[in-house]
Amino acid sequence: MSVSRRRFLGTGLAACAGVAGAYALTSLLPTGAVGAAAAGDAAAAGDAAAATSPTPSAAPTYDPHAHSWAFLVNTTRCIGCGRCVDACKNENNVPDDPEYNRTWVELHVVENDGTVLVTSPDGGIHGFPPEPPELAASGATASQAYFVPRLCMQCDNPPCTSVCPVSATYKTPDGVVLVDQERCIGCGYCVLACPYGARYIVPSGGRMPTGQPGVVDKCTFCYHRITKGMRPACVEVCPVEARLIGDLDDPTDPVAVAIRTGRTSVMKPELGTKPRVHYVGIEGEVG
Amino acid sequence: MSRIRSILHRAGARIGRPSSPLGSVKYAGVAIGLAILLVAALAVGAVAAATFYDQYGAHQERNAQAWAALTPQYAAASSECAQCHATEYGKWAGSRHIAVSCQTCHGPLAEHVATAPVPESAAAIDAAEAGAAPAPSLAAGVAVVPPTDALCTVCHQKILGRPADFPQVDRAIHYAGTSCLQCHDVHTAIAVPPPIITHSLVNVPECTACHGTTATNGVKAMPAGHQPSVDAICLSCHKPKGDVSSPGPIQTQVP
Ligand code: HEC
Ligand code: HEC
Ligand code: HEC
Ligand code: HEC
Ligand code: HEC
Ligand code: HEC
Repeated sequence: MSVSRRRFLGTGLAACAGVAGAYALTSLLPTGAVGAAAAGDAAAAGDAAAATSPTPSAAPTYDPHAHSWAFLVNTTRCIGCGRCVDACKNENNVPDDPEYNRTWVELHVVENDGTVLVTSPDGGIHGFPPEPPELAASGATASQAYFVPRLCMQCDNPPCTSVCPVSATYKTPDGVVLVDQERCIGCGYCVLACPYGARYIVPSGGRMPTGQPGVVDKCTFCYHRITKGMRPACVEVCPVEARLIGDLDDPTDPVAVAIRTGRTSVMKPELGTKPRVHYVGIEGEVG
Repeated sequence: MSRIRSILHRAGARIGRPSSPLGSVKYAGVAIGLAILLVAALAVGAVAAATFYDQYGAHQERNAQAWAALTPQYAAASSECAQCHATEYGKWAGSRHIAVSCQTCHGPLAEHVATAPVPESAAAIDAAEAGAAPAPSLAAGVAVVPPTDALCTVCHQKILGRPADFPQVDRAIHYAGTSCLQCHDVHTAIAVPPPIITHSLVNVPECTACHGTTATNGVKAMPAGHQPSVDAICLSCHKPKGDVSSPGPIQTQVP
């Protein structure tokens, strides 16, 4: 805290030179507000990260207006190994409990009578059994089966942000929906409003993405990685390129090209949510 | 965790919460100073917002930057391992397993990449790995545990839903009971098929009575890397000629 406090005073004093009584301010302002008011805030946070880790902090040159992130999931390639689920949990401190996931993998089995059986044992983190027990139990046979990796759709028209009573969840200029976990009051409206089941409330104890229980969490496209020129953890570990990140502002980006040429589809297009996560191979899927 | 939390706490906090500081002002001078300072702070915030996240509130801009400032756990790419693990990297880069990132099998290693000492030579690190030389101490004590073969099946077991063109085996018939790592080089994935036993096994002594560690009486020795062991172990890889009842190399890849 001391670093940003000093920075704050430096900035503040320079901005309003000669203010009497400024000496008493640091003791009156709530600690959080001091950090927040500082212009050097992000830099201070960056310093803190740099002090504990050699990985570069949020690139100060990163301009969110110069990027437009999108994601491509290829269900025809996914092998259901679940390495993405595992990597996401490691990268983002997502709770170990398989109930809570930022990303998960589903097996969709189209049975011979047309019904679709969807299973996701432990979110797919340990892979899948040779055949879902539910299929054997029902006595049906599979006419088609494929894996569908799931994550937050980062909608351009997000139903979750508009229902938030404290504007804790919002959309960044580069297209990612984030949650301010300091501001979030954990009411859960957004969890219900999300048509894709992409949000959860962080249980207390164990791993917590920002150490804060009782707040809403969801996929950030690994915002701390994409802003540093790295790929999201799930994309890095995927062995079959079933998950790809791309920048729509780069006309030559393969993901941008695939989306532009219209060979992809989105989940629940009828809702008008305008997802940024596009799929290959789920035509006619309910999602 | 507390580190990440504190970063966010600092960066994500905002003016006016948890309680208005004005309520506890005791001196008028302080109040005025505070008011001016808040205005100044907002102005500074607005400047920053104009540069970055202007269509959003200042607190959102700060929060986005706090998310952006978190520390990655996974290194950016497998190429980061090359300078220190040239042997593994070289094998991997020329194989079909090049599709699989080092960290898919070895886990999140950003900290290892950043803190491990650069070995003097590739030979030095190979010697350390082989246990011939003391391993260089890892500054931050990041223990890297090489995975076991349970890892292979998560990708290669034949299961419903896996695309047919992906190489997959049924564990129950593909050399059942023998560790994948005993036959497959993990970094290239290549395996040499164990030769089929060319002779009858009726009324013969232990395998190692004839196939020793050196060729005797013209009988082939066990190749280097083989451990002399009981017949049952030899037979988990080497199948007698014409043996179609027990699973083995002859039947493995029949779809
Ligand atoms: C700056 C040099 C350096 C880099 C970069 C590096 N390592 Fe290491 N690594 C070491 C050293 C030194 C050791 C400890 C000596 C040893 O056991 O080989 C080690 C140990 C390991 C081990 C354990 C070996 C054993 O025998 O137990 C694994 C596995 C490993 N590293 C994988 C990786 C991977 C994967 C990457 C890339 C993500 C990587 N390393 C990047 C230097 C490095
Ligand atoms: C398919 C999974 C997989 C991938 C991909 C993979 N490894 Fe490994 N690696 C293993 C396993 C399993 C072992 C343990 C081998 C053993 O115990 O015989 C291992 C062992 C190692 C060791 C220790 C070697 C020793 O002799 O002790 C190092 C170093 C290493 N890997 C580095 C790498 C690097 C660097 C890459 C990427 C270029 C990589 N690995 C990719 C699975 C993998
Ligand atoms: C994360 C998933 C993953 C893991 C874990 C994994 N592999 Fe692979 N493996 C792949 C991919 C991807 C390919 C390449 C497939 C292709 O080229 O179509 C492959 C290819 C192979 C092949 C075929 C190579 C060839 O040249 O025909 C073998 C054999 C193999 N792996 C064995 C193993 C073994 C043994 C292990 C455990 C040490 C292992 N794999 C772990 C994903 C994985
Ligand atoms: C006794 C040695 C041996 C063991 C043990 C073994 N394999 Fe193999 N594996 C082979 C050989 C040899 C091949 C080449 C094809 C063949 O002859 O069956 C092969 C081929 C493969 C292939 C490629 C199949 C294809 O369609 O191209 C995969 C994948 C594979 N093995 C995975 C594994 C896994 C996973 C394990 C552990 C559960 C394992 N193997 C255990 C020897 C072995
Ligand atoms: C009485 C001595 C004797 C015993 C016991 C014996 N073998 Fe052999 N084995 C031979 C001879 C002789 C050959 C043929 C010449 C050669 O390949 O060296 C042979 C050939 C083989 C080969 C073929 C090698 C090649 O060139 O492809 C294999 C594999 C083999 N034996 C494995 C075994 C195993 C496993 C056992 C135990 C279950 C066993 N043998 C027991 C004598 C023996
Ligand atoms: C993990 C699987 C495995 C086990 C267990 C195993 N082998 Fe082998 N064996 C192989 C493979 C693979 C080869 C061929 C590749 C090589 O030469 O290394 C081979 C080759 C051989 C050969 C032929 C060597 C040559 O020069 O052509 C003999 C003889 C042999 N093994 C005997 C044995 C005996 C005896 C045992 C038990 C003590 C045994 N093997 C256990 C996998 C195995």
